Amino acid sequence: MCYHERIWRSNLYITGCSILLTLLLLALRTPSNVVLSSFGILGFAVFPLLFYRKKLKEERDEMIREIERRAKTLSLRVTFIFLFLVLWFIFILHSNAEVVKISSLLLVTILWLTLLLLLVIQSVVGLYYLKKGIKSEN
Amino acid sequence: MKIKNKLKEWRVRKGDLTQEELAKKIGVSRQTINAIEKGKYLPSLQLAFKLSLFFDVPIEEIFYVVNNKKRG
Repeated sequence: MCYHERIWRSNLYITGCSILLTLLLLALRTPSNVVLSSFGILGFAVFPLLFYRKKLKEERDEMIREIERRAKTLSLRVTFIFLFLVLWFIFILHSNAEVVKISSLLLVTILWLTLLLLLVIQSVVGLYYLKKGIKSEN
Repeated sequence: MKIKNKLKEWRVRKGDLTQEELAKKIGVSRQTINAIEKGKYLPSLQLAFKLSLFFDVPIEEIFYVVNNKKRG
């Protein structure tokens, strides 16, 4: 299994954990539980992944680093646009019609979804570059 | 300008090495060797020199230019 396939699997892991725990947050509904569950998500999903990624990073070579760099740039752009649009949409709805009330729960959910989007895009773009090929810039 | 290579040819000449074996000797991943052979990745000058030194041939014996576009 190649580097990007393993990254893809680790991203699936964090995505799965985060979706489950985000659903748990939605079920709990109280602000204090939201904060506690967020720390739970960090401990449960992010830290093991960081250790795993640190180990994986030792296997990177110049091509993989180049693919990662481009995938990160692209996925960061897309996710920030997504975050901006969602928050802007909520703000407009909230200020005009008071249809949506911005709760801490909603914000945490949006932030988590943004992180998941970032991970998924990063993996997909990485695998795409690996299939399509990449021209170095030297 | 398109750069092609004879990496596979040299790999076979050098004792029929597998991509994995060559990758280990050069210090890169098998995916990188595979991508270079298929023309999907242009290696850095450093890696090109490493390959050249490993096969003990000049760089242009491994990498060469084809399809030069006419200018003007």
